[in-house]
Amino acid sequence: MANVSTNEFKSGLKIMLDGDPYTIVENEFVKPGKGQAFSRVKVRNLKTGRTVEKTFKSGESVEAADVMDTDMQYLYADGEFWYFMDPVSFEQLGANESAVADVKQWLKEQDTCEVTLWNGEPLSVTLPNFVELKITQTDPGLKGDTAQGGTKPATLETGAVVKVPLFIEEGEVIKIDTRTGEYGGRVKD
Amino acid sequence: MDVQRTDSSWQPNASIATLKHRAAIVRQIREWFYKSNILEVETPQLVSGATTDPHIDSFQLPGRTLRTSAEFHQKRLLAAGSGDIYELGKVFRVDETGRYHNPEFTMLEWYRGGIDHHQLIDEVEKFLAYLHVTDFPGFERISYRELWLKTAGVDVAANDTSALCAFIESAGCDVPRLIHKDFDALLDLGMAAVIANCLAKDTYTCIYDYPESQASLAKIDRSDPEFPVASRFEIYYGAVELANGYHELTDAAEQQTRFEQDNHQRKLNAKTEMPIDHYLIDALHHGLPECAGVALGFDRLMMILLTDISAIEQTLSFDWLRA
Repeated sequence: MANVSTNEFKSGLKIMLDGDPYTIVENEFVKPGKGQAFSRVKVRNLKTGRTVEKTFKSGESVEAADVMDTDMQYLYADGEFWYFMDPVSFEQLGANESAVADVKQWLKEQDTCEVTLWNGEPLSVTLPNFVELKITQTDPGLKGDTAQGGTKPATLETGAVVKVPLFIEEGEVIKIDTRTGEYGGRVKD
Repeated sequence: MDVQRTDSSWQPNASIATLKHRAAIVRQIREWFYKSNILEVETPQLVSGATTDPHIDSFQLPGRTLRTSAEFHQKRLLAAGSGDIYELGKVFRVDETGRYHNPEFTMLEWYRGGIDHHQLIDEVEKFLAYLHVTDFPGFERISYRELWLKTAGVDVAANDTSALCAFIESAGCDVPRLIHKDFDALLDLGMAAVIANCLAKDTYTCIYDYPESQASLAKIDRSDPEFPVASRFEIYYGAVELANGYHELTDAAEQQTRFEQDNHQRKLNAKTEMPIDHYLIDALHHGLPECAGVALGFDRLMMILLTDISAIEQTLSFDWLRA
């Protein structure tokens, strides 16, 4: 992979640090008028999700990370890997548990996800902020109870259990906010 | 740099109200200099002898270079007998982009004969007080050495790179391995990333008497043989550097040596060596009157004087990306 110089730093740029791929979250240029310039960057480790700060001397170069985001279709899981397919080339890739840790409970077969590939291997999987899932089991609600108030557990088609308002019924499709794992509304037909 | 054009990118960065404010401040500034009997001058932006400063890069054009400050030409005017002068004009520096940097910016630079840097500091304080009218935020003075002692517990006279590294790292800023043994780079990083953030907020701080290695174009004061200092000052507002001034070096031979040292440093840093401004050297040989000068970032001054401004581009009609 090519090297990138600090003057090309901007948020979203993917770079290699100590053998791990990172994305630049923030880049601050600091320079006393008569002195040397530095780039102070906040970078997020794409493997661990952890954010750290690093300082570079201006003009220093670092290796660019071969990281790309691509839309893929989720196929199935075999207990060890979660398989995704490129809708254009039909190529299939298996993602390990750490890559899908944040999203696996919302993954429904044939849904499209954004898969981040590092050197061609899935590094992480991102879902849209809202996904629509069907309720496969929940206790009957109280008729007419549409006001705010209580919630009850509901099992979704992916197996995940979420809290829903009392008026939601089995078989309904609801929206889930994948960032918080919370109920985000009913999907009307 | 990539330009991401959107439907609104044709519009100015600054609001029209800000531009009106800016124009009003320019007018006040001209008034102040007029009343102070300091002559307004215009000197070339396209110049033949560029800065040799190892940390400033010039835009180069066929046969000429865009100036990075008006200093050399103003000194030539002083040597020719102009008396006190000022210039408000554009200067240009490659790759300086950020919240407080735009590669093309406006600099206010002035020179006063027969005074040293401390007397010029007094004048800068009066100038700022004039612009703030009734709510002047305050103006503190501290020497560079005292500031480091007070804030970092490090004596810069001891030339101790490992103490500097330890301090910077203890403040939560990692130190690039490349500069672990580079005393001046450590001072620059420590100053910009740590010490500046410890300066009193919402008030001016004037830091004076810099280490000799950071003299740039200032005279050296050798009255303390253990720790010679550059007769240089900087003015900060909170953590933002606003102005830089010198009791000006008038010795032609010393100036020539500093230019050569700069170019040597540029070579070590794999940067192009810059043509030395021989007109300036000739002017110094002819005789530059004893004087002090200061250069102040006008756009940053706008950031301080106007409310609700958080980045330099909000003071500019069009910033680098929209230019």
